[in-house]
Amino acid sequence: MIELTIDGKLIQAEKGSTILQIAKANNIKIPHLCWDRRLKPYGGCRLCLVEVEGQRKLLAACSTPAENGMVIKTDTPVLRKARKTVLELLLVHHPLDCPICDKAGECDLQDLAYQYGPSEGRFYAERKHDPEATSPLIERNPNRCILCGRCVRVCWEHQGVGAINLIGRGFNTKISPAFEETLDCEFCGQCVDACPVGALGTKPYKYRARAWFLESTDTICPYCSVGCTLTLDLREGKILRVRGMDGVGVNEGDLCGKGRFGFDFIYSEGRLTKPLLRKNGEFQEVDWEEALYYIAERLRDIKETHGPEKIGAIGSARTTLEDDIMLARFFREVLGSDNIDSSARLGYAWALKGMEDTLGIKSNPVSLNSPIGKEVVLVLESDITSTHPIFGLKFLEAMHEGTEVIVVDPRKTKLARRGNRWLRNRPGTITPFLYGITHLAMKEGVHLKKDITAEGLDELEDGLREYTPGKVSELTGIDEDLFREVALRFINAESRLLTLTLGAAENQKGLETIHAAANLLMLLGEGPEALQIPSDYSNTYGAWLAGLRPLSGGKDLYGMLYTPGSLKALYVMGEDPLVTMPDAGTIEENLKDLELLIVQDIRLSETGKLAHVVLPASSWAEKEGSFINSQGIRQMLPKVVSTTGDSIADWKIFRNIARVMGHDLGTVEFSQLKEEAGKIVPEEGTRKWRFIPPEWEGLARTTEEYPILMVTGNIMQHSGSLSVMSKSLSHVLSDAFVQISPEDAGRFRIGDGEFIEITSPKGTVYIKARVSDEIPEGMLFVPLHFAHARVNLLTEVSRDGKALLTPVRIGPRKGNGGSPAG
Amino acid sequence: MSMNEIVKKLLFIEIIKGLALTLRVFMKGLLDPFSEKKTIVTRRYPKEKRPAAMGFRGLHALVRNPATGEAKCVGCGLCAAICPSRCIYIYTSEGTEHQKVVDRYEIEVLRCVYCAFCVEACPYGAVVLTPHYEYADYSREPFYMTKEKLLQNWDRFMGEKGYDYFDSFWNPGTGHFKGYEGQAVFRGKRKTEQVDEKKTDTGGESA
Ligand code: SF4
Ligand code: SF4
Ligand code: SF4
Ligand code: SF4
Ligand code: SF4
Ligand code: FES
Repeated sequence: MIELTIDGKLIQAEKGSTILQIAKANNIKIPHLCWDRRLKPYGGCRLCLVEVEGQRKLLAACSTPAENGMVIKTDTPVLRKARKTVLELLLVHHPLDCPICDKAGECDLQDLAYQYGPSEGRFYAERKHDPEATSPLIERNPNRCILCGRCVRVCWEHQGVGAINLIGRGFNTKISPAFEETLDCEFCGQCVDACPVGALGTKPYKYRARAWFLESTDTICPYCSVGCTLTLDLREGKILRVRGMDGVGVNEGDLCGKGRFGFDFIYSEGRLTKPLLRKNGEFQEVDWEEALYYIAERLRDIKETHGPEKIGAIGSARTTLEDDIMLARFFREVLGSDNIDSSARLGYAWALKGMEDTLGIKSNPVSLNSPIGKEVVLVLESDITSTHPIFGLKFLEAMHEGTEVIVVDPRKTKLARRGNRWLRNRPGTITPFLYGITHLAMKEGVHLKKDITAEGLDELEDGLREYTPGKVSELTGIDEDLFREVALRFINAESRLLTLTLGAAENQKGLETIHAAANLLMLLGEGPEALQIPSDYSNTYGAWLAGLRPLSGGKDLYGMLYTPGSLKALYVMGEDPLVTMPDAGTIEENLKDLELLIVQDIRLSETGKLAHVVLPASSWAEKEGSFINSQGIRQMLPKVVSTTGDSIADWKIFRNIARVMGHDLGTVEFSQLKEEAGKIVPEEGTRKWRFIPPEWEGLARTTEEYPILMVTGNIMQHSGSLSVMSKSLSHVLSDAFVQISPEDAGRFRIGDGEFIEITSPKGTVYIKARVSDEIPEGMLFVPLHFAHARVNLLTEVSRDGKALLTPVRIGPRKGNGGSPAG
Repeated sequence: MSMNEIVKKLLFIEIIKGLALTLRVFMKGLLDPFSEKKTIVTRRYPKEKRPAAMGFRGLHALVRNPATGEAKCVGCGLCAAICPSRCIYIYTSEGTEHQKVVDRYEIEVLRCVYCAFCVEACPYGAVVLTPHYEYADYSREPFYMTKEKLLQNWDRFMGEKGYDYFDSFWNPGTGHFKGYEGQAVFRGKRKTEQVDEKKTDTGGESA
């Protein structure tokens, strides 16, 4: 603790903080342009100058560490004059086209010039007039740039990308992507938020409104389970842009591209506006009354003739907690059916089961800041910066603070590139990798030093005997010495963390991976906090807690979608199983056999096209509700925009059907439901630890006929099948593709951008190839977002939660022309 | 109250004085209605209209840029920001050449309080209150001014004298905003194109 005086105020502060940080914490305003909370001090703009008693020079507050006994003045005539000069110099080349600059009204330079600046400059020089550069989402106007370097530093230091740089020197310096191309940009838009002036802007917002025409509302991002707070800027009831507000929300102002640009899915042309009822094989728009009466009658019929156990529901990972509660209540109370499930079954449910089996816990919310301060962090075959971008940033932040981040992944993900170490394993071999470390830990006798009472230790030891470093190296393809070194590093670290994702779209990890990870941690005496597994989407965890899963012996997702004849009627809310779930062929057959398929969604999904009735639901911004994020925090969403067409909130639809069926669910108003949702708490477990012996079934998936392994997953610019509705995100990427290694491309004579044929035992699809060194030989990576590619026709479903990579063979597309999509 | 005042009050002296003045003026006008001296103050409106003085705050208009024939307004929204009755609506978008386009500029005239703050706020002298004051109507619709109507207002009620208005009456005048060589290009353009650019785009200087 040190003591210093700023503007006559005696202040106590942490040693090592800078003057600016202390001033900020004490509400003393010092102007600054190049400083950013998240970045190392730069000291480039010289606006934050302060006077320190006993120092002849003026010091930059942002980069001067405070010392005990300092007497600092932040506003004196000398300083005002200095700042004025700095601004004058900044304005020499500035175009001052505020009347058309989108930043006007919220521009730091404008505000400061207004506060300190002269109305006339003493220096006369030519204005810059470089051409503006446009890209799908980010606009650059180099003329307005004041070269503060914040964008460049945010992109490199904070985001870990490095897509832009300051190029040239002196007056000719300008920001530009490396080699004037937009090669690496991930379109997170973080640079735009960092820019204090109007040199960077977002394309969808360009020239759309002035800052003072906007009204701001905070809401929660609909995409991933980080649950970032988005600040929506609306004009006349329409969302025009999304920003992150420094320090607000779990994300503290950081946003990824999906959150920032993906909001426009609600304005997509594909939105449903009226209920659709199939009459003589064709959809016809009908009014709500007709649709509800039809549904009520059919459900009653089926319930009477076949019994309630023949009716099932699939919920969504993106509808609100309140919607989910009403779906569950409608099914349990009105129809008397427990056949309820959601896509969490394919991923997160296995993670929860794995943790219950081993650590004896029924929930394990992540903590976003968990990587920070750890000695070693292992990232296991998971592209966290793509699936959970803001959680991913914390790994980079931890790295800056000295954590060693070790990434084990066949794909060269961002963390693989930026982490301290990257081990490239064969796809789907993370489980034996973990066995190997556990084996070594046992050999080191780590567990003997700890007092471990958990059951199953001996079985574990037996089972792991074969996983020697040599064997692991053989299985995973990682060099034996390297493996040994990393394993020992992890075992001997003071503090450590294991992290992985287990998404519904991922097929290279499974229940056995969770068991293996938990075994290792328990052996090292670590609790559940050391195992960080975020849930998939905005409300995956909420849906689970709200009871969108069989609670009293009902059929689960496998029983409903993959078992022929198990159902007569299915209600699908906000999910598109035909696109997002594996083995789409089987699902399609089973859906076609149904007597009644009701699909409730915001657009006509692929599954909706098979339905008998399609109900238009309101989207995320059009209704009140809440999401439970991966940290287990329930965050409220306000209603921000008016509903599209005749759509209504999902929970109201259930209330209305129940009414038509003569049931009163007791919920008339949202406030009642909100209260009910507030009572939901995660279940506790026994907290009794148990080791699970190895159960990995080996790699024997590839055969001579199908020599290549296909891995499925999410990519950075998309999330599930929702984001493809967004025009902005589709600007970046709207076409399905498969990533293939240069080696395989050469071997199978496939050129970049060509259509290839992928065949698995299940079927064949045609898809565009992207040759990329991110992928090792013998592997394909396919994102599952794009409905037209139908990649899930190839995949298989794993009913026991084990990883199930898809073996395929590939080749150039045969024949000529024809529709590429399968 | 003095005796004198009481007497005055009782005899209605003041009132009689006033009536006498009225009668005098009335007779004058009656006897000599067409004299050059124009002693009558009442105007025979609407046959005879009173000309508005320079700076009269009547119906709005958008200034036409003589160089382009289009509105000078660049859609900066300052007028809408200052307008105390919030009756100006501006909608802009990005044009094909990546320039800023003012798609709609609308004034809900019935809500306007004729403060002329909008005129004052505009950095381009692009909006003006014309001397036109006769625009009563039977419905609300004619009072909702669109960009086209506002430009027509300029042609009909201001025209050439409008430029004069900005130069000689309004302060600061357009001339006061003069920049210098090389200043303020509103769209990123290469140096060579810049000279023409300035003439057409930066309304403030060319008017
Ligand atoms: S960056 Fe700021 S000062 Fe520069 S033109 Fe834009 S609003 Fe004006
Ligand atoms: S573009 Fe903006 S953030 Fe980047 S250097 Fe220029 S002024 Fe700074
Ligand atoms: S997608 Fe996830 S990380 Fe990105 S803004 Fe939304 S919640 Fe945050
Ligand atoms: S004259 Fe005043 S009230 Fe009328 S539009 Fe202009 S600023 Fe608004
Ligand atoms: S202030 Fe002038 S230039 Fe700006 S929007 Fe209004 S009329 Fe147009
Ligand atoms: S903020 Fe300190 S020099 Fe820029």
